[in-house]
Amino acid sequence: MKTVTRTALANARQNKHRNVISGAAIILTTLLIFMVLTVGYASVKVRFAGVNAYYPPYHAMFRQVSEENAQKLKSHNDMEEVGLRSDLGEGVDDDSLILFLWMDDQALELNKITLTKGEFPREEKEIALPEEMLSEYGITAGIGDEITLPFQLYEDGGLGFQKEDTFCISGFLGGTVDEENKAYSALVSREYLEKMIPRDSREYRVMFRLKDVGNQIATTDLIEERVKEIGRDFQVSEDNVVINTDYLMANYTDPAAFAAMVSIILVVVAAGVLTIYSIYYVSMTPKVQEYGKLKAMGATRRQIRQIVFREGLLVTAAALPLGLMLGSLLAGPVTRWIYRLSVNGVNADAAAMEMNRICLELLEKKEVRILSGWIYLITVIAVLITVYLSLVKPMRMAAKISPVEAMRYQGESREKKKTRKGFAQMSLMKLTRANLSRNKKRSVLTIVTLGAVGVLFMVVATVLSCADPKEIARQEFEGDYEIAVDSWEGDKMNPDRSWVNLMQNNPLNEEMLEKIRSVEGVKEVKVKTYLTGCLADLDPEREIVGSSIQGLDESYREIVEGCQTQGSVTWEELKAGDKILMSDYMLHWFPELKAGDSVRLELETPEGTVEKTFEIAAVGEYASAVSWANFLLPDSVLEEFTDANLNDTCVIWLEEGLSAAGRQEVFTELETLAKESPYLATDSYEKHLENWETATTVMTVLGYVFLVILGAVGVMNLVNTMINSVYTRRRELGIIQAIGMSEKQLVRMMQLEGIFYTAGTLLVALGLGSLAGYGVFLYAKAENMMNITVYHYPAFPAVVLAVAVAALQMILTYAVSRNFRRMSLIDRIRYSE
Amino acid sequence: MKAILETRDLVKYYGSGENLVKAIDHTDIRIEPGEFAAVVGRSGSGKSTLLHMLGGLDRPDSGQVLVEGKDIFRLKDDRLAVFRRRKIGFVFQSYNLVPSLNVWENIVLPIGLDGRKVDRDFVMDLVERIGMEDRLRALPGTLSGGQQQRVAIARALASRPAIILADEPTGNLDSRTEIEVVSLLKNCVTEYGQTLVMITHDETIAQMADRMIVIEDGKVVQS
Repeated sequence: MKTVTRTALANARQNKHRNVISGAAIILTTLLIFMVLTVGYASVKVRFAGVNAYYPPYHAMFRQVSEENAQKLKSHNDMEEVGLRSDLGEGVDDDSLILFLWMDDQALELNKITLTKGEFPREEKEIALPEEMLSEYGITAGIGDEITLPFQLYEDGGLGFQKEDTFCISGFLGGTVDEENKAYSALVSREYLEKMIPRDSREYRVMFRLKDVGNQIATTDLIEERVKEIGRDFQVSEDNVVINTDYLMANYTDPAAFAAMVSIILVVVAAGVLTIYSIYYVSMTPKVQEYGKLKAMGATRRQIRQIVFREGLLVTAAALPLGLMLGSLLAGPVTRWIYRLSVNGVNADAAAMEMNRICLELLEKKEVRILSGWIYLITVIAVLITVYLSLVKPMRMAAKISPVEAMRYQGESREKKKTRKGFAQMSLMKLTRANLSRNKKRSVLTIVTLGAVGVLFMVVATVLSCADPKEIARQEFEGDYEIAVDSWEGDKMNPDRSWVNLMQNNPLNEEMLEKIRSVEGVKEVKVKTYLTGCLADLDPEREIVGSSIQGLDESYREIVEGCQTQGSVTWEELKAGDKILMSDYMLHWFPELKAGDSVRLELETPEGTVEKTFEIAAVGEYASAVSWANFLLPDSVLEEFTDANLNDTCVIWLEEGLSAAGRQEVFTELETLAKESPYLATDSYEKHLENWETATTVMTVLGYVFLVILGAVGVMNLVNTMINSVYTRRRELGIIQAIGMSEKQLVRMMQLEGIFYTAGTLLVALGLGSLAGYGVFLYAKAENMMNITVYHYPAFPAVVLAVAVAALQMILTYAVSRNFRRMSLIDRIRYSE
Repeated sequence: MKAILETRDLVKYYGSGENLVKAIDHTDIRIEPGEFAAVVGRSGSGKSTLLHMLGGLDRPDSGQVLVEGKDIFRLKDDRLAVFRRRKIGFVFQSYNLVPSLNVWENIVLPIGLDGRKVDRDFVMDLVERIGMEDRLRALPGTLSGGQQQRVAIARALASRPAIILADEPTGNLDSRTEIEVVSLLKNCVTEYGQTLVMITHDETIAQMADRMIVIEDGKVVQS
């Protein structure tokens, strides 16, 4: 076997150019796999670290737990960490909310309570509070100073009489204070709690982390189940079980992210296999005679296979570490760069922005290790599989060669063709054509492998070009500004937020609308009404979806009549009150529904539940800018159900031609109006736009960087084909030159071949790529991905691709022909493999 | 009579120091129009190098090659290529047909490269002479050695060059085919009034020539 290895090594040295190229392809493949894994995993890790730094890290909380049960829970077997908190009462002040509470050390830790100065309260009358709170009270005091605060204790589920007590400040609390709502927390000592609240009346909030999360208990659902189970053991009603969803959601990665990573890696492996296979296949031709000779000398099939395989392994042994090294160097900067990109953008979601900022900080302080051992291992395995898969066919090809066949080998193997129709007159063009058609399989293989990368490029480009931030923002936001009633259902802590409650005292009343209309710069105002309830027969418990209905005014007639994809209904018919238009999105949940069906709704009104059966006259596809609701009706129909004010959203258009600053001014004024009620929320087109601009920028940059590297893998293939097509024919070309081809004609012939590959590649890439891109667009649209709705042909990327491929081809042709011409004509003629 | 092909003090060395090979060492030869000259010598004597120089495939270190009185190495590479395809036809030992082209295409390729129209009658005449009229569409891989060499000869003759340079054209053929091929070459050359310079180490073949030029260590020892 030593001979086999030695022969492989000798071969590796001899096929230097091929191995350099396939080595480069392996390096790039390694780099891509490694980077996708590392950057993907690092962002998951950073996110975890960020989440842990940002959210309180407890899994769940029980409320209204008795002293006895709290102590039992503290020593529960399934608990990893348990923190106790008990609320004593509220401070008395006109416009602020001060909560007096006690927490044990674990609770302080789990809630990330920190001190800027001093210590947590230990002695009875000690208190720790945010420094801002003092100024709210108009007190100036430092650590050790005494202050007197008025408060009401919680008694029998309500607040007791006002009391006053004098405390000694032991420390100032750090962290952010909700200054907008002026809510502050003041920490008191255990002793004070025990003194003020008798043992039997003490109620605790028990916050805890479960053991085995991540191992036995992997999903959020399982955590929830286990938590509720423990809760039942301690007579905690389900209402008093609070799952820390923010933390859990942020902490447990969506399996879809892993699926995405795996599919990206499969794409890379596929591109790698195609390329390396093609490189070996193409350069196998000149080696055929050699393998034949080896066979004639007595090498077995197995030995030949081993020679080919080991040569490939040798190249991998050199290329793989290089790729890993390059990846290790790049991983850190690239990850940080991605986060910097997203931090620089604007996100409508403040928490998401804060998360990104924390993540970047963690990365920049190098607190999160980006490189992990198992990624190296997986990369190595993936690359070895790639190389093995690419070598299977060439190995078999080499092993199959019979010595006799090899000696007579004329290029393409087993070509059955004996004759050729040919041309009566010859020319350079015809000579080129003849040559390309001789190696049909090779030409097709090269074009297909190159084209495949191009197809991928076009697909990604299509998605990116359809994801136009302006359009997406327009899809989800009508007008320039919006003031809406901020209601939500099923929150037992905030029953006031339910729509049926809010509509009775609707802050978006005529008075408010009048104020909005009179703001300078406001051009037009539209009001949408809303009613909600349940699908009485389909989903009475609202487990899947509610029966939200948006009421629209006459100005939406065209949209309502134009969006129908199934059935047909006019505005007037809807106004009659028995027919309804359903969103096509409902078909995701109830695919059996169709136009013509009846649907029974139970709608919640202050007067009680109203039951109504509608005929689904049509199914419509409307943008979320028009409505989020599942059904659309003229507003006059909704008004029939109740006397309450159903105004839900006020869409505002500004005067055209306002400057950015001018718009901002109007927005500020509108926002001030909305602040009059805590139940009004605002939103603007600008916010949506900025949000999507950030998202698409990061995605676009990453998408193209990935494609460029993937493209480089494909280019290795092109380089190999070009070099091979010239060097394996050097003798033939020499002879043709001897019988009269000039150097100019030679270069021209190489260019013609290059143009053929370019044209073929572009045909596949642009043709198939555009089709595939359109297919992906349709899919994305159907699946409501990234709010893509309008198809945009990625013209600019297509042109860039065409120019890049053509330029690359020209440079390659130039380089190869230059290099080739350095060899003297005599050497070319004399050359024999 | 004016020489059609002439070398003057032609020198071509390879390597240097101890490895210096004097492939052509101050050689002067003259070949008259219509002549059939055989260049003989042992292997490594410099025959092939001489032939390459005569055909303008390689440039000498010094000296001149005159074709019809014109110094061909004064031409730039591309002009030289054009000159070559119009004036000189090559026949190599290992046929060297283009594998992707059929017999006909191989024969007319030099004419095509020169951008000229094929004189069908003339080429058909050639094809009949080499006895390949039935196999015009055959690809070279399906032909025997002798057939391939005959096609190569037809290719060299097709553009009606003044000079045919043949480098051991029968080296790969058996003795019967050998005589056949050389006779074909000689007859054609005579018929079309061309000049033939042929390298060979085969006495019998050399005897068929009008003149023998013997080369030893790059020098002409008999001419």
